[in-house]
Amino acid sequence: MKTQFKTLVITAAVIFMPAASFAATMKADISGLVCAFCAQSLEKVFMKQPEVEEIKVDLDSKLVTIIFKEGQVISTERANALITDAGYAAQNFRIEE
Amino acid sequence: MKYTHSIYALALLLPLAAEARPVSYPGGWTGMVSRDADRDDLEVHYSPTARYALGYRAEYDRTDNTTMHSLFSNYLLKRWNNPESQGNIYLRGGVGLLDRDENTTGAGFYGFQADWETRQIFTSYENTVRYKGDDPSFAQAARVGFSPILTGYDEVAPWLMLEVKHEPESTDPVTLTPLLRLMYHTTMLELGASDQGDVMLHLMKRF
Repeated sequence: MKTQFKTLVITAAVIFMPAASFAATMKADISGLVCAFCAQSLEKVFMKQPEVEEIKVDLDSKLVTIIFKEGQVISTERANALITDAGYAAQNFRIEE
Repeated sequence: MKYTHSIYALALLLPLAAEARPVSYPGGWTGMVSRDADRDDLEVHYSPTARYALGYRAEYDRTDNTTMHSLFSNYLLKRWNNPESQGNIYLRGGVGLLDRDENTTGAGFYGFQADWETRQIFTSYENTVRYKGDDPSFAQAARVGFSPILTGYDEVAPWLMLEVKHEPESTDPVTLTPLLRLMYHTTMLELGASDQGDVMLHLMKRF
């Protein structure tokens, strides 16, 4: 619920404050992330999304960081679906400005 | 073309070198070339989803001078995503045409593969039932591997592995092959030499 509220606030900010553009990031903890070869699937899947500027994968912390293009973001539900479709499981989504 | 046997659940030329990730990411293509003591093969597969892949394989068996062209499918039956590990079970099957002595017959295979790995430990097991126009044959292989260093996302990951292959109908039923696996981004290379002195090479690239 908190994360959804954050998403709503950021999305509203994107719509109503065009002058105050920013690049949001989303982070999530990934289960099953045991090798870079395998984790390439996350990069491939997310970089196909028009809203995504960059994705970083940290194998040590099992953390994926999705950096969005300025003024854009995707919902945690969509991000979770993309991660699941890539063959992984994710928890603890958080959005940061 | 001459078909001497009908095609049923059969078995075929599938190299037992356990394929890392028989299924790729959604929309991903994978290309592989392999050479071991008995066979040379070329394989391409496409994964519409992370659950299954469809592919084509061309394989030449040097032991009996046969060539096989087959269409196959790999299916991810179950995956366990744990915080520090991942486990997978795959099913595989395919049908094809075998060229032998200027005759062409139907053939195919089915098999099972399971693996479990962490960032530094790899284990796998697979078996295949093969049919090349005569009695089915069975083969199985297991691997254990260890990565001596923890590597980051943009680093070459080295793995030291040992494969034990068991083919009951072979003159040497058990073969041991130590091998080196190198992985970098979407490329995987394996080099090994069996206890019988045969070189093994396996190169895989994801697109």
